[in-house]
Amino acid sequence: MAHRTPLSILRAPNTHQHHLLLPLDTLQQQSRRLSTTKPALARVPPREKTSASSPSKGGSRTRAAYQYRSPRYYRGRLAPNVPPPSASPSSRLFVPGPFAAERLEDHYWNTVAPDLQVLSYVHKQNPTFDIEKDYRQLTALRLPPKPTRQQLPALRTFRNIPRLTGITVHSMVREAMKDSAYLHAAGMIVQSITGVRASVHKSKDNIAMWELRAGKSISVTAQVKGRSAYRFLAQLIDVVLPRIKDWKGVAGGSGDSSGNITFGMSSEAVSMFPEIEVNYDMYPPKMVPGLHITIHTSAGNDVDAKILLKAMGLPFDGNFR
Amino acid sequence: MLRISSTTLSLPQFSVIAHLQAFRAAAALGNGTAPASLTRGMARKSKSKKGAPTDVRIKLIRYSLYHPKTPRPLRFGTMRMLRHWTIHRAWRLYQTAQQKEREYELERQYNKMRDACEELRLTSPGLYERAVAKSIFRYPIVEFRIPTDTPSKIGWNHEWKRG
Repeated sequence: MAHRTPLSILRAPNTHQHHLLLPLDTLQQQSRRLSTTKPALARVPPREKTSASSPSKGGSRTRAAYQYRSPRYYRGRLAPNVPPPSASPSSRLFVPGPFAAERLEDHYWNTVAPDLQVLSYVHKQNPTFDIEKDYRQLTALRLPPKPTRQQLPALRTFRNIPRLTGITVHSMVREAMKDSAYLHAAGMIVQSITGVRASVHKSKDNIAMWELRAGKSISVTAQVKGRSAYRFLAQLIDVVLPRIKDWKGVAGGSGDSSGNITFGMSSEAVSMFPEIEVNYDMYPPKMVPGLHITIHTSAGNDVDAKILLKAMGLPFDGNFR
Repeated sequence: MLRISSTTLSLPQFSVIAHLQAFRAAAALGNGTAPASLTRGMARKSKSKKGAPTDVRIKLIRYSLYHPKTPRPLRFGTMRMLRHWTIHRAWRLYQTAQQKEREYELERQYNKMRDACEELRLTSPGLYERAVAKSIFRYPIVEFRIPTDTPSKIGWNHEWKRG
């Protein structure tokens, strides 16, 4: 399906060139004079000179013969050919933009962050350090708290107000065990929603109960960071989640004890994304998958992360745990 | 009796599945000739193992996902590259200044809160205790709408009720 147009077929629009560089009769004359004792390169008939650097220097080509492509991998500090920075247009990772400020990002810095700062403010008096009592408390803080899932409330200042760091969209497709078309459709959908090329993951274990075999491509994920994460979250809150029928909210107990909140979306909910809804019939029936969406925050515990998301407008079902 | 004709074995790309299909087709026909569907089946790789053709929409998805020009590499001339570099640097400068300004604003607010609380604590301990007490934790409001550039079509909803 994917094809490359061979360079020999590419023609400059204003010239009337044939595939052969020289007319046929001159080639036939050349062939009679070609020597078989000279090395192979010397037998090539001489061409007229064309510039490879710039079309303004004359020549029939409007495009240079050699097109540079930056290296894909970083081969270490001793390798000479280094990939350019991702902000450079010659980089493979270059993404053009941004083209507009984000509503949710501006709203966060204008309103949400100051509100959270005020809500979480605790007044500390000027500290007086007593070597007998306070030193032991400092040593206790250095060790991790027990039990492992215990989440201590953080001392909040203007330096560590929780903010959105990224969003991960993940889709595991069981039918991809038998037919890879399901995974291709899932990858296309994740790419349409997030604007990011999805990465494929393979299964690790053989579990007969779930008909799972190791080494099969089974899931796709995409990570959205920075401004795009604010855009995606705003789209969820404003457009997609209100359209879901009978959706009560994200579970109040969700969270991985580090401030990352996850919730799932069914196949019908995924169809509510404008990017999917507009060309829904371009996907075969039953190939639109469900997703898991993980929202990463810089809050160190779950409750602060959920308070941040609540301030941004994400509804929760049940008390925070 | 089934006979494999010599032409099938000499083909360059030997597909086991297509060969099996040819066997089954030949068995159905009841004669020993290799059917033409064998060569055609090999060339057309789109058929799945059961013989059902893949959906055109899946073909299109695969075409666009695996196209070598995705994403298309950009090739800028010298002056175009210089313009991009200038705009990029200016934008990064603007973004850094904006981020600093936002963080300084939060710091100023925090310092003002701290100074006010300290002033109150030294002035009146009773009032200070009442101000600092966190008996009722107030969560942020979920219904607070993210501001938009333009107002809504329906305006203010007077009939809205929570729950």
